[in-house]
Amino acid sequence: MAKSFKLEAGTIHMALVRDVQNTEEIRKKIQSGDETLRACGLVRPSLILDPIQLVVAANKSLLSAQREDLTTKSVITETLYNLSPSKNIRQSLVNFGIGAGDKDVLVFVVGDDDDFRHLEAARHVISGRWVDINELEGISDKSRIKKMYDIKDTESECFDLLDSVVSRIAVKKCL
Amino acid sequence: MSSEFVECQRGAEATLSRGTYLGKRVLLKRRPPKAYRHPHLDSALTKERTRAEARALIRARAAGVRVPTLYLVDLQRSSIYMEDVDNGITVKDYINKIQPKTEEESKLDSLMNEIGICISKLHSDGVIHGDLTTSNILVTPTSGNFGKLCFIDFGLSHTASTIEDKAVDLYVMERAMESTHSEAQRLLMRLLAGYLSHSGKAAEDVFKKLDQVRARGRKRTMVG
Ligand SMILES: Nc1ncnc2c1ncn2[C@@H]1O[C@H](COP(=O)(O)OP(=O)(O)OP(=O)(O)O)[C@@H](O)[C@H]1O
Ligand SMILES: [Mg+2]
Repeated sequence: MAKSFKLEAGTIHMALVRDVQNTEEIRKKIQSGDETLRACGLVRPSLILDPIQLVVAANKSLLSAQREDLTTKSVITETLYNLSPSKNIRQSLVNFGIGAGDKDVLVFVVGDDDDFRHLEAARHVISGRWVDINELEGISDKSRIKKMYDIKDTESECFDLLDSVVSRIAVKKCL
Repeated sequence: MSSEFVECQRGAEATLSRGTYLGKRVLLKRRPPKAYRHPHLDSALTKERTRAEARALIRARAAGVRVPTLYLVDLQRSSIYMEDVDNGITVKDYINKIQPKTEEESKLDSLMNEIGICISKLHSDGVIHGDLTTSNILVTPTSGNFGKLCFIDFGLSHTASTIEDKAVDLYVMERAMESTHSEAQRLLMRLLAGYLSHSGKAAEDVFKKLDQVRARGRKRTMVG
C-alpha cells in the first residue's frame, strides 16, 4: 500500500492513512522528538494532487541537504517548505503539515531504499486505515490548492493544475 | 543519474539532453561554464540566464501560454529539468514540411494567428520573450492539425511593459522569419492579425513603434 519513488539522490517512501484517530497524540510525539516518528514527515493530503508533487519537493530537499544548503533544519521540514509557495518557513509548515483536526495524513520518509522500515514502524503509532495512495485523488481539494499556489483562472482554464503546481515547486528558492 | 541522459543538441549557450528524471521523460537544459569568461562573471551570468528562464516559464504559464512543465530548476548546476514535449517539433520544421502543399495554407494561417495571440498574451502580462523565432516555438502535429503550441527558450527574456520592448520582440520574430521562410510576409501578416485580435487598441501603439524599429533596423543595415 505504501509506495516508493526514486529521487536523483535517494528514495522517497509514502503512504496514505485515513480516519486517523490520534492526530493530536502524533503531533505531540513529533514535537517531542519521538524515536519512531523522527524519520517521518506528515503532510496534509488535501493539498497534494498526486505523489509527483511530493516527489519533486523531496528531490529538491535532498539535493540541498547534500550540498549543506538546507533553508530549514531537516530534509523533512525542507520538503514541507518546498511544497509551499510561501517564503515564510513557519507559515509553510503550518499550511502543509497536519493540524489538530486532520483525519487524513500523508506519511513520507526520505532517504534510501532501506528507510522503508521507518514507514513500517510508523504503522504502530499512527492508528487509522492505511489505504492505497491512489485515494489521494478523492481527498485533494483543488480549489484550496489553486488558492494556496495563487493560480488564477487564466492559467487553470488552459492547463492541468498538477503541471502548474509542480512547476512552481520546481522553481522554489530560484526566483 | 545524469549519465543516463543522452545529449541531443549543443548550442552556443546551452546543452540539451533527453532522459528520465523522477519517472518522467524530461529534457535537460544545461548551460555549461565557458572557459573564456572569468569564472565568477561566468557563473553569475549563467545563473542569471537560468533564473530568467525559470521566472519567465512560470509567468508565461500564468498568462495562459503553454510552456513545458518544470521538474527541477537547479541554479548551482545551471540546469533546468523540464517536460520533454511529446511529439514536439519546432514551428520552423513544421512550416518547411508542409509549405510546398498549397492546400495546407489555411492551416499555416491559423497557426500564425495563434502564435500572434500567444505573443500578445505574454506582452499583456509584461513578459518579453527576447528571442522569438520559429525554432523557439513547438507544435505537436497530429493528423490534420498542428496540435498545441508550446513556447520555449526564455533565457533572454525579461519583464517589461514598454511599447518599445514589445515592438522589438516582434521585430526579432520578423527578422528571424524573413531569413528562414520564403513566405515570411504572408505569415507575418497573419501573426500580427492574431496579435491585434487579442491586444486590441494596445496593439496599434506597438505596431506604430514596430514601424519605427523597422526603419531604424534598415538604417543600421545600410550603414554597416
Ligand atoms: N521541452 C522541450 N521539449 C521538446 N523539445 C525541446 C524542448 N526544449 C527544447 N527542445 C528542442 O531543443 C531545441 C533547442 O532548445 P532551446 O531553444 O531551449 O535551446 P537553445 O536554442 O540552444 O538555447 P539558446 O538559444 O539559449 O542557445 C529546440 O529548438 C527544440 O527543438
Ligand atoms: Mg532556441
